[in-house]
Amino acid sequence: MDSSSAVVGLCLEMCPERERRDRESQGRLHQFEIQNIQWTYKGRRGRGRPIADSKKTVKEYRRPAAGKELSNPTDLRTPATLVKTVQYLLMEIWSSVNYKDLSSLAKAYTFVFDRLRAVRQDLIVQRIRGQAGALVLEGSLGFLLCAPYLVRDLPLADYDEVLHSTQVRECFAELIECYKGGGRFCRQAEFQSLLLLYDLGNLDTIRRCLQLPSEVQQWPHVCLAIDINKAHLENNWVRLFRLLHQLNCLQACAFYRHLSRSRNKALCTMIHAYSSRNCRFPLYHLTRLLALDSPSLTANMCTQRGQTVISGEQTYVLFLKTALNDVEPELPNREIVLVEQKKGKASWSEVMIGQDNVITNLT
Amino acid sequence: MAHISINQYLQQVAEVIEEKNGNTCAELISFRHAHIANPRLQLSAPEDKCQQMLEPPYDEMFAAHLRCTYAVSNHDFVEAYKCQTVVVQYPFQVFTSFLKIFQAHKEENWALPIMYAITLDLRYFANSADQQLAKKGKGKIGDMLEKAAELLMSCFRVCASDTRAAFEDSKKWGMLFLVNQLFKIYFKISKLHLCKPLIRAIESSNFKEDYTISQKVTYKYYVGRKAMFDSDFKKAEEYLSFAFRNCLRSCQKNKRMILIYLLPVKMLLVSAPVFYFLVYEVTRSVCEGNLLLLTEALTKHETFFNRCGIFLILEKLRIIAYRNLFKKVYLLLRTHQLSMDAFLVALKFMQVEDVDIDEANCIIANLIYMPKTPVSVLVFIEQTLDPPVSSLCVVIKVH
Repeated sequence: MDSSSAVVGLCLEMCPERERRDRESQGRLHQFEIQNIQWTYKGRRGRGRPIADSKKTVKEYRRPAAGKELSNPTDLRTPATLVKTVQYLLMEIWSSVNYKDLSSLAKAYTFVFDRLRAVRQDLIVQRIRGQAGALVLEGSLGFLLCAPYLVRDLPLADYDEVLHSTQVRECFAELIECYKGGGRFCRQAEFQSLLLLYDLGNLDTIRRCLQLPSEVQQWPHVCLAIDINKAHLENNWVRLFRLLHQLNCLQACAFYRHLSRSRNKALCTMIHAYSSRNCRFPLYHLTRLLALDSPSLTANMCTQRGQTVISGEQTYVLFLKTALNDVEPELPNREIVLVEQKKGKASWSEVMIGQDNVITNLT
Repeated sequence: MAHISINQYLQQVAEVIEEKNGNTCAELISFRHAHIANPRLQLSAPEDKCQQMLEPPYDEMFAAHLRCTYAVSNHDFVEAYKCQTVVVQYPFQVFTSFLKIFQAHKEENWALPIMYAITLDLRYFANSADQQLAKKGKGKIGDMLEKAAELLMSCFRVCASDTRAAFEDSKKWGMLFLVNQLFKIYFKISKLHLCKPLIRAIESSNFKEDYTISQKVTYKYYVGRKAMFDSDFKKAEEYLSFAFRNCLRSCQKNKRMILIYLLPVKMLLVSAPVFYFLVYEVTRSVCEGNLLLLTEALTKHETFFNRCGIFLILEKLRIIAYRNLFKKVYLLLRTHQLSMDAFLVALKFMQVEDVDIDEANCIIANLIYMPKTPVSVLVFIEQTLDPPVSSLCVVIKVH
């Protein structure tokens, strides 16, 4: 709107020099930000202190507060630098993560999450919209959408679902604003579909999407996401799970947070509908309908809910609604068929940044 | 009234203020009154005249009003909006305004009608100003309305905080009118989340039952629509029904607007069919279980339904259409044990997109699970299912 009054950033590095110096002297550098030759010695007695690597330091997030100067042009990064920062965080930091080691995962997650938040803050202060803004937000969202799947096992102290989802929502809101400004955005359809999947069943989101220009609505990505929402509204879980197989990896991650609730509801419906002593439901078929990874998971879900699993030549489930006990939906779990297989040979970082965008080199 | 001079006009104003006659004063400052068409009053600089005739702070207010009539006669709604904000309150200016006058009226509320008139005009002008700016390509649609909403909020705060005055003299009587105006703006600029605190304020007010019926109708209409968006259909039905019953019969347009929302909600909830024929094709197809017709009707009117925000609610009616279709299958075959294949054939006949036996099962399972599957209670029976599910039968009991 009023672009004349917005500040224009001048900083061409991922971290403004002043902040780097301050954090270095205060010893507040992150493990990812220090030079490999780890210690310098000031004099002979001086205690070692890590020194900052100017190629690795990234501006950290600071809560806006009274009296704090946020709009100093030398502390704000230019749009191109912001794009570069996002690329760096995903392609360098995140690709070095060892997913088996929870503590290293936690470190990387908190680091990337915090620095991306700072990136967005710079974006907002400078009121950057349009292509550049969209590019930065799309990259950040790639991470924010995939992360819940990857860090599902982290304790609450490291990964707070609520905090995370607020960030996702804010990111989406700004991205949609960027798109509204008009122009060509090559990933618009993809992210509209991601929003629909993330906000499954939210009537307001669907309504907004249905009011978009028709060429956006006709994109296959968006059509699929709308179909999934319709299946959800209709409670047609057979169709819902069937359509989920068609999602790509990033989309599947966006949907991930609804999975256990959808399965829970589907199973409850079945327990009520097929409740009969004469009726035996084949376990493998149930597994397929619910898109679960193995029959043992299905059997587990059923016994959790008080249903009997009869094993023999073929395994069956005996549904009885009188035996049904209310349980919370399962905690998020690993999904091989629905999520991980979609990834193919690509790395998670590539999924986040968008598989087609990996080659583009922005300097 | 149409051709009086400026002196006569201001004389009248001074008199009604002296008498504390709110209603007449409201007319004299409203844009629904004949005096605004009077060219002798449309002045670009009426300040001196007003200062001579009226006590401050009223002089400032009526001067702004006259400037506003001048702007309107020139079709400059942006300017008109600016003048009207001065009438209501110019946010950063320290000098007088209606809000100041209003606040100074301790323990009396005769000025309420004036507030109604000027806030209503404020909203109209904000709306027109928005459109005018958009046409020129300046600013975003809704900017002006948003600013107007802020101003209305400050009026609302004055009203809501008037706790000392006696029941009949309280300014709290003005709350509902302002809330309704705010609803209109928030719905227009789709900021529905801002409605929640207003609803809470009204629901907890002890005046709740005593507001005028017209205000209550508007209020219930908007709260009903909000409930619908929040998927709270019970509440939506209750509120919209109230609005529909109490809306004047002569207000055809309003009745129609209420029906657009009430109808789908009713259809979602009721156990007995509702025969309102506004959305004729949709209702008919749902009652007949004619999914093909339903899909057609929905696609045909998609833009209209979308604009009203009811498209997805109507989509949900599909479930009821399924029920009616399956009941037809039962009536045709006349046996109490039905093979699933029969349902599948029916669904395919209705051209439900790539449906198969698993989905047919799912649809039936949902109907059984639904808390009040109307009319028919279905029970699955079968022995060991192998090959699965296609050999499953359904026993239908019809109540």
